[in-house]
Amino acid sequence: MLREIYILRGSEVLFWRQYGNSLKWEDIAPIFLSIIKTLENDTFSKKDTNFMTIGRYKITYISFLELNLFFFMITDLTDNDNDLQAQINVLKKEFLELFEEIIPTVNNPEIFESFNPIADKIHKDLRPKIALVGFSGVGKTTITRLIRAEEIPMTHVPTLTGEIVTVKIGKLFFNLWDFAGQESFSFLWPDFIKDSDAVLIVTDSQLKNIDESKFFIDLIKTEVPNARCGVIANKQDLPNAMPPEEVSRIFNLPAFGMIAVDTNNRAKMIKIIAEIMDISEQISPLLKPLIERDKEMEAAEKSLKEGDLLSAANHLTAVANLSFELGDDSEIGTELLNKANLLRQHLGISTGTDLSSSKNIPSREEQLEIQKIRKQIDSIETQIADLELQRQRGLISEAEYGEKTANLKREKEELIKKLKFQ
Amino acid sequence: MAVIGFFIFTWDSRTGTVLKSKFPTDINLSSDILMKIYQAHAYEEGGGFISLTIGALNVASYLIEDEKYYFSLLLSIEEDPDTYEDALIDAAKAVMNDLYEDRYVALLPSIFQRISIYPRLEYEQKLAMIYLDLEKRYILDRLVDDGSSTVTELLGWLKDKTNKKFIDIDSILSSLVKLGLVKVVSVKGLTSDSVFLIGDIFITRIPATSSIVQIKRYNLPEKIVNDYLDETRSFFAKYVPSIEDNEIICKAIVNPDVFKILKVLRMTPMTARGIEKMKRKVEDLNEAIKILWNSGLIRILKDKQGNEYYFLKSDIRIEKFFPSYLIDTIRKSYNNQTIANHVLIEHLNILKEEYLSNYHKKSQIAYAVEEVEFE
Repeated sequence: MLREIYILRGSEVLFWRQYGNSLKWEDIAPIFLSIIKTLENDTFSKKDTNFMTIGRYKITYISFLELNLFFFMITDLTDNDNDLQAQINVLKKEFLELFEEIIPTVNNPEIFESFNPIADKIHKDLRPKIALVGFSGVGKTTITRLIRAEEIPMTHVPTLTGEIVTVKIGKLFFNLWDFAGQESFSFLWPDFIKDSDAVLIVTDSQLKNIDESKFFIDLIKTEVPNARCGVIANKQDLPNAMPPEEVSRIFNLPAFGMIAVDTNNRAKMIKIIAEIMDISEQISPLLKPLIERDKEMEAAEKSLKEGDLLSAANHLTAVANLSFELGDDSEIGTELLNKANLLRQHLGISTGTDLSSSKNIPSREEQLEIQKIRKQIDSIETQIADLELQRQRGLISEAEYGEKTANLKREKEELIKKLKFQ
Repeated sequence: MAVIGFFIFTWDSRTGTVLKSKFPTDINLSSDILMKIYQAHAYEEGGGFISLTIGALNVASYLIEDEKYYFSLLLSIEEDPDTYEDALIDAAKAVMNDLYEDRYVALLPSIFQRISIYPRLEYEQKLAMIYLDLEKRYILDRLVDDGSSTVTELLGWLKDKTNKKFIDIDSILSSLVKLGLVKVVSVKGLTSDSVFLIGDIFITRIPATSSIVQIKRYNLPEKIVNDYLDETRSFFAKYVPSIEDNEIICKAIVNPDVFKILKVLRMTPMTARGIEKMKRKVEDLNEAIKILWNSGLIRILKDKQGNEYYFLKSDIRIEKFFPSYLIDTIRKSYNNQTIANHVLIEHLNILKEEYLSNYHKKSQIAYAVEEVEFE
């Protein structure tokens, strides 16, 4: 997965775009300077794409010495060199096409922000891949549907072969591979898991399945040793479900509890994937409120323990607001607001005054409408990404792609207008 | 429609199946269909031909393992996918040569047409197709000279001769085996299978004897008949078979429209009106007539009233024959010790078996028929 793009003029950063956590600037800067020095002196590698491995990251770079420009892409080790070479050349070509003439005179790097959509396309074209593995019936397809906000199947229909769909995490898109988990399809697993950026082992949290699923650890080690991994301890609502901490100990991997049939867990599932992919909260607008909500909840608990009821009430109100914003079950938000009001009443503070001064919370109906529109926009963006994937896979023609995306974009614009009005 | 579509896809480890091309362009191919074909190939391990059923459709598919390219045919359920194996492999070979420049896209309609008619081709058309395939002809030519070879040896030699990186020797040999031209067997002491020639292809033009006999039964103008007979005589007086001419007549005969008209003209000459009626039976009558004319197969003569008559100037004979000359080839190999004795003995045994099961009975029947006719 592409994590960062840097375009430097000498030692000056002209353009920077981040898609995931990566090397810190203080660590990467000396490396860049050393690369630049080498490129300036080495006549052979000037025009070629070069690669360097730093820890779990790969740096791909290329130069344009006529303008003293250096292009860097920081990715995971799982990215394919041929794809990286192609994309860094796209980066260089597109950047020069847009800015070659103005670079010698430009003083304000903000002008290069218009390059963001091209950088985002490069991220997309590197086709980051997340694979869901696990035996039949553990909930892989349900998790896929949960992330895509699709209807959750209530009866188990085994996946035959596999399904590749697009999922949206924040503003980023990934190809999610849902495998057939029956053992009779095990001959396909090595092929399906190959070149994954992340692999999620899904278990039903029952001892027998957990024990059997250890098989996937070896498969991952053989096929994708550099992929990021995690375990989804699904079906936590079942009796005898092993807690995620215990599952983590058994697999020696981070494990996350999940009830995938509960549609309220969509944000949580996205957060899990983002954590495994090591995607920064700053770059994902969906993640930020999730993380803030956790912090507010911790703070509320702390205030309650310390007996600071006013502070607890304020933190609970913030949690309620964030729950509304995230589109979680609004009953939870209402309940938390009620609790906050009770605390304020207990302290003799007028709830009406306090509520209105702490926020401009829309009415419950308005909240639900906003939530509905946001979901629709999200669904349209996923549909557009799906069409892009289908076009890449040759399943729809350019014309069909153009027509369908144009319609969806129009629909999205209408919804955004409605959202602004709300 | 028996053949619904022909399509080519590849595998990308990040996006899965990627459809490269399809014909007709409006066939609906879902990701599920491609994944099921991919899965079926993966199950078989390695490249090659497979057939499968997906829902209410049959599929014939061929994978070129080294290149990870899948060539597939979507067929209606009543169609037997296995009968398309050779045609599909030939199509894959034709496409592979132009794959990276995308030149193959322009070839897809004609490739599709050839595949569609393949199972309904007659034996002589199939032999003609073998003759037109350079790799197959090279193998036959080599075996005509040497009698036998190992598969490994043939593959190395063929790669050198054709200067091609990729050659699917198993598929090539499989089509030769199906038409009874070679036999591939495992011989003790050899690490690679051996290929033995058991049949050869004979191609020539011949006078259209049935048609000539028929002419006398019709009330055709005498001048027309004489002109036709004179032309036929003078053509065959000068005719010398050659590889170039064989290729011309093979190319003509593999065209289904040409073959349909040829079969009628073999029996009888036709008037312009009769030819016009063939429009109902062929796809492109004008094109077929053009091919027949350019290949020197037909002659069109006019009477005084301007009526046109279509005659077969020369017929074609393409047939498999028993390569009895191999007995001498084997004798020479034995004397020169170029091939191990036990391999030569194996070849003799195979030839004997082939002769007794496929040629001896036929020659006995032919002899009996001749005797009856004589009496």
